[in-house]
Parts: sequence; C-alpha cells; structure tokens
Amino acid sequence: MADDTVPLRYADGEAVVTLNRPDVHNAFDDALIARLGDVLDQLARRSDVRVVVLAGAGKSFSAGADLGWMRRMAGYTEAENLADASRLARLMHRLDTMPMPTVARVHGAAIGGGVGLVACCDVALASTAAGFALSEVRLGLIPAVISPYVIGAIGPRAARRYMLTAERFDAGEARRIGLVHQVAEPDHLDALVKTVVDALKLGGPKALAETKRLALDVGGAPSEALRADTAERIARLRASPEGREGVTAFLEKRKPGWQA
Amino acid sequence: MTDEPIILSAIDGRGVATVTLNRPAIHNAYNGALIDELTAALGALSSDSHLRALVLRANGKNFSAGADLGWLRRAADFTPAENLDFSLRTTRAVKALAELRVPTVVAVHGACFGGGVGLVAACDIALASEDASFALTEVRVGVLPAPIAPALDAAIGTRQVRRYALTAERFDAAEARRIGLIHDVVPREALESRTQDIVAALLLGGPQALAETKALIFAVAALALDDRQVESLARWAAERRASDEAREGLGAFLGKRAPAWVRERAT
Repeated sequence: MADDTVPLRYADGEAVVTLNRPDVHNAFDDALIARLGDVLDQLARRSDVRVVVLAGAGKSFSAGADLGWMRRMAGYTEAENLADASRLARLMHRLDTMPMPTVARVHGAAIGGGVGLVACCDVALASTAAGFALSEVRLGLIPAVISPYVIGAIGPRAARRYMLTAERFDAGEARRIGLVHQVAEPDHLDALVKTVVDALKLGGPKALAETKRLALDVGGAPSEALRADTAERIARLRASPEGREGVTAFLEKRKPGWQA
Repeated sequence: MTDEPIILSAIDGRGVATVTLNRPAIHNAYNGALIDELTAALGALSSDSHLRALVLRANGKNFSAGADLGWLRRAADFTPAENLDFSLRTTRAVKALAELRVPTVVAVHGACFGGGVGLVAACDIALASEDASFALTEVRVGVLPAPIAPALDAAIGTRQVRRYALTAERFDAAEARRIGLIHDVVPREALESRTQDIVAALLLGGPQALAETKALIFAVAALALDDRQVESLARWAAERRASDEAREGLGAFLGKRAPAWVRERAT
C-alpha cells in the first residue's frame, strides 16, 4: 500500500517495520501511533516471526512528535492530553515487551520520542550519520513516557545530562552511553543489521522469548503504575502555561518567553 | 588568617548560581563548618525563585581532598550523638545538592578524593579538566563512604563502586568519563568555557520543564532518599568512624605512618 505510514515487509522469519512519513522525518502523530501499535500487536501474535527490525524511510529515523499533532495538542484539555500521552506510553510498552527480539536500524536523526523507540528495542544499531537529542525541555515539555526506557538504556547519569541540556549527540556518543550497541558507516548499516538478525535466528525461539522476559524481569521493567505516572506528568505539563508557551513559540517559530 | 568565607555563593542576572569551595590552603577538605555553609548556601539559593541553574566549582590547586581528616579524627572522639550529627549533616548536604530542583553542573580540576567524589556524583552534569584525578580513599583510613554511596551508585553503578570504593585506587579523568562519573573531559584552559556552554544549553530549556524532567529522572530511577535512608547511612558512617579500626586508620594517616593492618601484613 503506497500511502501506508507503517509498511511491513516479511521474509524468512524477519519482519521489517518501517516508519514511513519521510516528508515529516517520520514524526509521529495519533494516526502513526495507532498504526504502529496495530502492526506490532499483529506481529506479537505470529509464531513465524523470529525477529522484528524497526526502520525509518527517508532522511531521518524519527523526529519525535509531529508538528500538526502538537498544534492539535495545544488546544487539548488535561484529560485529552492524558489520553494522548497514555496511547504513546502504551506504544512504548508494546515495543519494549514484544515477545521476540527487536532490532532498531537507526540510519538518521532520532529525536525525542524517536529516541524512546530506539531505547525500547533489544538491539540498537546506528549509522555514523545518525544524530540524537532529547529535545523536550526546549519546548517546555518533558521526555515523560519514554523516560523509563531511555533511563533503562543509558542510566540516570547520562539521562541527567542529555534530558536536561537537550544537546544533540552523535552515534559514537550514543554507543558510549549505551543507547546504541554498534555503529557502522551508512553503506554498511544493512550488513550490520543482517549480522545481528542472523545471530538472533540461531537462538531457540522459545529460549529467546524467555531470555528477553528474564532480562526485563531481572532488570526491572517499568511497572504499570510508573507508566501511568509518566503519562500524568506530561499531561499536566502540556496543559501548563509554560508547556503551552513552549509549544506555541515553536509552532510560531519564535523564542519562548524563558529564552528572551 | 583572614575571614574569607569557605563557601562562596553568587547568583547572576540570568539566575545562574555559582557555588565555590574556598578552602584552598587545605585543598578544600571539608569539616562540619564547610558542610554547614554549603547546606546554607544551597538552602538560600533554592528558595530564590530566580534560580535556573547552579555551577559548583573550587578555588585553588585541587577540587576537593574530601573530609578534613584531622577534623574527622577529632570527630571520632565526639560523643556518639555529636558524631552521628556530623554524619547526618554530611548526608543531608549531599542529598540537598543531588535533589536541588534546578540543573547542576560541576567543574572539576585537580584532585578530587573521598567525599569530593560524592559532590561530583550528586551534580547532574560533571565536567573535568584533563588534570583531574579521583579516588574513593575512605577504606585506607578505615572509614566508610556511606553519605555519598547513593549518589555514587547512581552515577557509576554498583559494578564500579565495588571496584573503586574497595581498592581506593586513584583513577584519571578519562577513566572517570568511561565509568560515567564525568560526562566530558576538556583541557584545563577550556573548563570554564565548556561549563558555560552547558549552562547556555540549560538556559534554553523551560525552567519548569527542567525541574520536572529532573524530578522525572529521580522518580523513574528511584534516586531520592527518604529520611529513614539518610538516618541509616549516617548511623553507619558514624559507627564506623568511632570504631577502633577507624581511630587507628585516621591516627596513622595524621601521624604519617602506616596503619596497623598494613604494617601487620608487611612484617
């Protein structure tokens, strides 16, 4: 389907899920969140799928929140914001707890929620052309529903820096702090993905599923209460004067009040 | 001796506070008075609604020698209540720095030992110059890094705490960065400008969003200490400091001799 925002390609046990809104750098809005969730739900039920690869079409992996979506959110009540944040929280949880191994193929920029998607995958591979940023605070927002997964991946120390400064960092730094496992030149990214996928397919499918559950249980996967709490935090902030000012200033391409 | 304050604290028009350890003659070692002044400075700043970020730095050749061991040896002879009170004040000071509502940046140069490492770990973003070196030296004098242990564990992880708090080995800025204690290492002459770059990045964030992001990280990673944990850590540190082994270790250090447990092994 040409206009599908999340096309699925399947061959020989490997399902490749592609974020496909290249004109907006695969930013996510309510429609893409729903569609990606559906695709992942379907894959989770299939016993023939041994590995899921998450990729992005076009120049970027994912720019995070979509502008039009943010514009709609700006008029939301706190209750609408909560429903919205909860849907994104469910998507992150869905990806994090896929029964089979997942691989993120990060070929370009991953910003905000895009970093969350990377953190939710079991193995993250990036091109040297990739760049990362947790840019939420610059809009007066917080990296709320992705934080359990991002902190799980990079730890509180790196989170305290990059969630607060919103600095951009490259693939080498992403690897150093644990967000991505390995980095390849752009031309070699697919070969690296194939190496990892092939390695995963050598494991017993049930052993892999149980090993993943083991890792999540031992490592302390985010509880339902924590996931709900993070959604409430962002809903509250989005409806606050600073959150509205930050998003409005961004949409109007001007500096927010606190930068003046 | 002049009455120069041992903690300098200032806040600029942007709301950026600078707190400076200022006991350079003894490498910014801390005693009860320095801890109290640090706590007072943090308290005054945190009640200032204009506060947006805090920079912690040190005057003199070294960042911090950790606890003032001469003072610590005297503390070992305090009454149990006074001894516990000092550990409580230290633990609360580290907690106050770690949980300050605004982002904190620390700029480390020279040596940073013992409790000084805890101050670094308590800050959100840590920069060091290439000449910086670090060590968790407590066990060498028979005492316990209890007040700083939670901040250390959050910064470098249990794996690294098990090595460096037990071996008390000295490590350099590059190793400090590798284990996560330090975020960036820069040449000494670039330390101040790099610190200001980080501050400039922080000032682009929404003040409320920054405070809530910091609170979010503390909630998700369960970093905040409650009163019971503070009391338990302080009690542990105080009991250890009053032990015979710690008296021997501190006494040996001050007498510039090896402690009994080293001499025993050497003979």
